Amino acid sequence: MSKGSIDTTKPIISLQNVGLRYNGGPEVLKDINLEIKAGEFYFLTGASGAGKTSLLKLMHLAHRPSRGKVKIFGHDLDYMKPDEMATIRRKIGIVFQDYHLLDHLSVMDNISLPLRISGRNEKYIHKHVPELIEWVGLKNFINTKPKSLSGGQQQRVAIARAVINNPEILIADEPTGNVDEDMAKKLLFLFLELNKMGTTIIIATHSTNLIKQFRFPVLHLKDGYLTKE
Amino acid sequence: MFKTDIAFKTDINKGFLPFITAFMVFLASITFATALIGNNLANDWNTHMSNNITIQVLPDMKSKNPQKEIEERIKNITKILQQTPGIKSHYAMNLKETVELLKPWIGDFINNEIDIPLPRIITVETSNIIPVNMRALNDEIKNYSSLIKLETYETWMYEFKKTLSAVQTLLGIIIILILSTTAITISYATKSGLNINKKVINIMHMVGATNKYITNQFSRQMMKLSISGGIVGYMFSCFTIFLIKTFSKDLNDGIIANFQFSSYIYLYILIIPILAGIISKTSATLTIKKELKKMV
Repeated sequence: MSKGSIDTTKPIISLQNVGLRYNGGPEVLKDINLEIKAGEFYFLTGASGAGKTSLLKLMHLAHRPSRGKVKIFGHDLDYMKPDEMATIRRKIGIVFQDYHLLDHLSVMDNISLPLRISGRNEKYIHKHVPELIEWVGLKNFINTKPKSLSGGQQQRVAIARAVINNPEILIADEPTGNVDEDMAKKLLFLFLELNKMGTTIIIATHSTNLIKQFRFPVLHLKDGYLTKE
Repeated sequence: MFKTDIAFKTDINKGFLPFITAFMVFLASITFATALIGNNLANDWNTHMSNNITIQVLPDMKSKNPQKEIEERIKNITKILQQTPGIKSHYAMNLKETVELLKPWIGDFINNEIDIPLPRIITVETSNIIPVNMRALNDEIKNYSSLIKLETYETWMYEFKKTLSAVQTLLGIIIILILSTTAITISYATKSGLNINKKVINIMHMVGATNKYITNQFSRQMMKLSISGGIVGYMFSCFTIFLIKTFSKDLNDGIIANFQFSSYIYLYILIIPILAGIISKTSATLTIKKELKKMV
């Protein structure tokens, strides 16, 4: 799962003077300047409604900023073509706050989705996906549909889907919000392993325990402004 | 079976699309079959009639013995025909046959002995290889007697073909309209399918699916649905043609003696479901591409 040689000097996520507003409303993100280099690990904190999810959405190209520049892997969002955007998204693993699982697909097929999209064959998928399913403790739910799973189980499916394709960036919005403390730690250790292998990780969380325990730099959002701690 | 990530199982199109395609394919196939049958009929008649001439020998009403004179004229015409290159065979109907032929119009009261001057007919079959110089033959007959008329079917066939051609053009337009309606229906069904699956498509975009990936899944599904509908429509049209063929056997006398069609017609109309499949895929692909551009 090694990322090979990683250039840790150049930022892979760069936001310059970014502002974001929805439908002409007030700015939810203001003058954001941020550079994240390859292999870094950040926690993103802030009160509810501070703009954490909006910032993460900018990072995985789900939104365009109202002003300023967003560059991912050195590619300027303003000049990105749809196919280029898709290629970049395949390098980003994303755990949505509300999971965004496909209800009509089984746990196996939900987790396999990024691999299928990347063109991996079924042999590869059937070798690797069950291993990860077992690791996240859902071995007995491999053919279950998400609606039959608890919130915590759905969250683990979402995490497995985000990491299955060995992403260069992992963005997670409250990934441990619905799991017990043991599972939260286990998942954090998974993120840590990925980080050691070169994956850049940004995790939005409310959990001060996790922040204290893992001691990674913290990005803090307050009233739309970003500070680095 | 291809693996799909889109929720087709809950899609309303799954029932609607095959039904509408089946109906459209049925209509287009029957229309196409009608055009083909018309064409075969025209070709059969043309082949049959272009090798036939009728010569009418009229009686001279002023003559004291018209019947005898007619016999004399028939003999002379027969000589002319024997000397004309390209005449394969000829047959002069005798008086008894003429009386039989005219009975439906004149009635039973006439008989061979009644001295009513009746016109007589000579049927002539021409060669397929040596063409007959009709103008020269007509001139020769006219020079011999003004009471002899040579009739070919050219004018009648020309009018028939003209009418048939107009009907076939109309049928062609109907087929184009049906297929266009199919394309429009597929386009709207695709749009509705995209709307139903908007959330799924959004998630797929977020995990890195290209528009091409989504388009392929959608258009393959649309093609699969329309082909399944197309097959049903095709089978229904084959069954309908089979029924028409079976019941039309009773009509195989008289003017529509050639109203027969070969079994190849079932193969020819197979082009309609294939065409419907291609149109469906093209229409779905174009619609998805257009709609996805708005979504990215």
